[in-house]
Amino acid sequence: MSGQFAQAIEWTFLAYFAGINIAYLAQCLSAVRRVRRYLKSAAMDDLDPAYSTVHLPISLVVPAYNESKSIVTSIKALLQLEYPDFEVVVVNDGSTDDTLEKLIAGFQLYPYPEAYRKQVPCKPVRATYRSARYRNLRVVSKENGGSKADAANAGINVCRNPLVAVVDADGVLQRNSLTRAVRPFLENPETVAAGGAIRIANGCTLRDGFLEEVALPRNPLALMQVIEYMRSFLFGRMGWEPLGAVLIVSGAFGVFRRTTLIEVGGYNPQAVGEDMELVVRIHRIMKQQRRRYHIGFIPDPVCWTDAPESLKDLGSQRTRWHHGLGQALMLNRWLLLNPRGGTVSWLAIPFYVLFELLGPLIEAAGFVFFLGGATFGLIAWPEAVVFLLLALSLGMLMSVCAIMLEEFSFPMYRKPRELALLYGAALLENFGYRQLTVWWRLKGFFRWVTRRRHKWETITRSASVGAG
Amino acid sequence: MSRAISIAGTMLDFPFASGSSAPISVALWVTSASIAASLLLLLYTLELRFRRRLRERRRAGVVAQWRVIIADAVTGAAALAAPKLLRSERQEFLRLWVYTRSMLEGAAADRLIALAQGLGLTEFVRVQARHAHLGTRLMAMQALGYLRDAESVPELAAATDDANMLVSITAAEALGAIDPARAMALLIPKIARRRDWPRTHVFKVLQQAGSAVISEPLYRCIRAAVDDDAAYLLQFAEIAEFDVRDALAVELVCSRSGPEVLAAALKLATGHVPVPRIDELLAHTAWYVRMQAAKLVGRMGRTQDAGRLEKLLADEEWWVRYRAAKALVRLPGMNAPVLEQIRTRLDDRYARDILGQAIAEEGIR
Repeated sequence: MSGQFAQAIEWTFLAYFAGINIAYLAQCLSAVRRVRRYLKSAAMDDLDPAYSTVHLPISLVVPAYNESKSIVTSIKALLQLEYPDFEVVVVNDGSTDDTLEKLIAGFQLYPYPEAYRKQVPCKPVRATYRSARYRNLRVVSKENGGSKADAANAGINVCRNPLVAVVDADGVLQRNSLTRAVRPFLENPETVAAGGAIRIANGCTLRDGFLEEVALPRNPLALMQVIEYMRSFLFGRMGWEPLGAVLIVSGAFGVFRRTTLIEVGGYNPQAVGEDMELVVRIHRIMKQQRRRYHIGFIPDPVCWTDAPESLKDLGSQRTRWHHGLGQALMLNRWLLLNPRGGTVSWLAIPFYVLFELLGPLIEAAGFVFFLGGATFGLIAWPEAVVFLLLALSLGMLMSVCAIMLEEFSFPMYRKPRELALLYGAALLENFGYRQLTVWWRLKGFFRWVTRRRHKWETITRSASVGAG
Repeated sequence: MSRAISIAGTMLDFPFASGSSAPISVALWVTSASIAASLLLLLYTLELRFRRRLRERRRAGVVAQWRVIIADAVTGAAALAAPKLLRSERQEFLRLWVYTRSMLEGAAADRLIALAQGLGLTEFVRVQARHAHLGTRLMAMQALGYLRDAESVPELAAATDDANMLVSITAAEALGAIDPARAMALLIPKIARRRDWPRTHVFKVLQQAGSAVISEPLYRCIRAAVDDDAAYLLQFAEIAEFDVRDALAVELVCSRSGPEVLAAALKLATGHVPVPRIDELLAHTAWYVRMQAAKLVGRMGRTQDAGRLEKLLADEEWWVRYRAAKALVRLPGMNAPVLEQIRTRLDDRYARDILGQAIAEEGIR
């Protein structure tokens, strides 16, 4: 009887492995096709510099909370972006340090009576400032809303251009990021939002807020995250794009049509993962209104972000992400298997529920069953080892796919040593790191179930980012 | 123990193992397949890297050799005694040539064309323009334009109808470079139909042809177009000669009723619109017509229009209020005391706020 029970459990886990890996493989193949198409259309870049000057005016909204250390460098870098028509709107979300004072001194700000319309909800604005040095820089000082979403909403109210890019204050953009990011809007007028690949800045050398040299981080935790980000962005998101089912546009850098943001009510200040919740809500509202729309994703690395290097910071981030995932899916549950929802309702949302939201529960149950089962004699040790090997080899395969996709599209790590390190990380992340992320995601899951709230979160910066 | 041995046996000879559980066999199969796939992907990644390196090295060699020859041709520093262009070098040379040519005009461009013709590039490029690979085809079509190859005109004209936007717009640009007058007669009627053509590219084609060449065909095309097409085409009319575009804009403002075409024409007009018509448009139901009408009143610069703009400060649309305020503060005679007087007599809070903002923006103290 116990043998039959064990076999039934084994089949269940096999079915789960098969399901998740077939889904990942399909995403990977879809991403390869998408990258090929993208690289072909990018051939125009070589031909005519005029193509890159096709533009739509963009407002960059930069929510900032206690960013005193790096805010001036970050904003100076943003002001040097290569784009013909953009403004920067910094939103100081009631920082308790001297972020505002640094901005005032660094950019010669003066108070200015901005007559804007409050179209999405946010805490009251205390003052608006303009820069005497940069015509395209404005700063909004508001009461602390307790979340990045509230600050972003204040920026959306104030900005004036048809496209809005919400950017992390500590994010490092490529000089041509905006040119790349508007492409989906130019190529398809139905585009309402677009994201790009985010990469890890740890280990890279920065000068004046721009990337000078790309290198892998020395910190092993950050190195594992390089692989994770490749998986997540290169096929996790790009694979969904041709199906019209991109559910996440990263909070570190995403471009939206302002009218769409206003129509859907802006960011949800109560959402823990405000970036995902917004995009899923856009899907929901567009589907409910039976409107044609497109959410684009470009494989170019448009933004580099600082990854947490300590277990505490990383754990807190992952717990928050998973909490946010649960909340975003729950708030927009109308989409789940809705006849009007198309691929979003029938593929993407079920995938996220089954493999992303419930994934840690199933993975944890797998570890407990096989290790516990082997310890207590329910199954033989070699059987447990075989299943653990299976998990390891499939995990490794997905990471190797992501490394291949990176090499195929926009290779950033060009030294042979770096390739070896990436492969090493792809193998080693299965021993400890993956289990830790399962634990943090489980915590996030239970935090979502128990409805606990999150606030602005700061992580300890690595030495490279924010310097210079 | 016996079970463990059975599984170990399975691991050694799992395809035909007997006595092992089915899930274990499947798991072993999948594990082996994924390890094999990982190794294959590793090899493929290494191959990709190797091929990329090789390509980059070859490209660097060709560029280093031909850059000097192209630079000499541009400056006229040397006679055109260039070495033979090898087949393997043609693609890289073409890329370098197109890049350099895109930045040049006049005698330097002529010398560069002579260099390319001497190397037999024209024949190569004509063949490339029919290539299946999009990037190759686009570069070849662009090169045909830069070479001013008259023989390619029929083929390029046909390509302007290609369903692929990149192909059709590149062909249009090339045509414009070869024979501007003929190209404009062909292209201007197509612009309204080809809304997929990036507007900056259309601007570039029209600008390169010059206002003298485009004014007449564009004027005729817009007058004959329905409201929607006329509105779209009007954005390109700013390249036309001033007299032509102003007359066209005023005519459309007075004769058309579609809000889009009215807004586009108002944007272009500089004056001479009858006052009763302006009053109608300042009260139009479409906010963007009201906004453009406010801007036009500002451009007309008559102090007596201040009252018209003052009314719009309380408009329900932010952009109308903003543009009216900007126009108002820029009218002749609008100094700080006058504006403050207007501001204090405004009942509407939004109107006061927007005027305050415009005063601050214009730095009026």
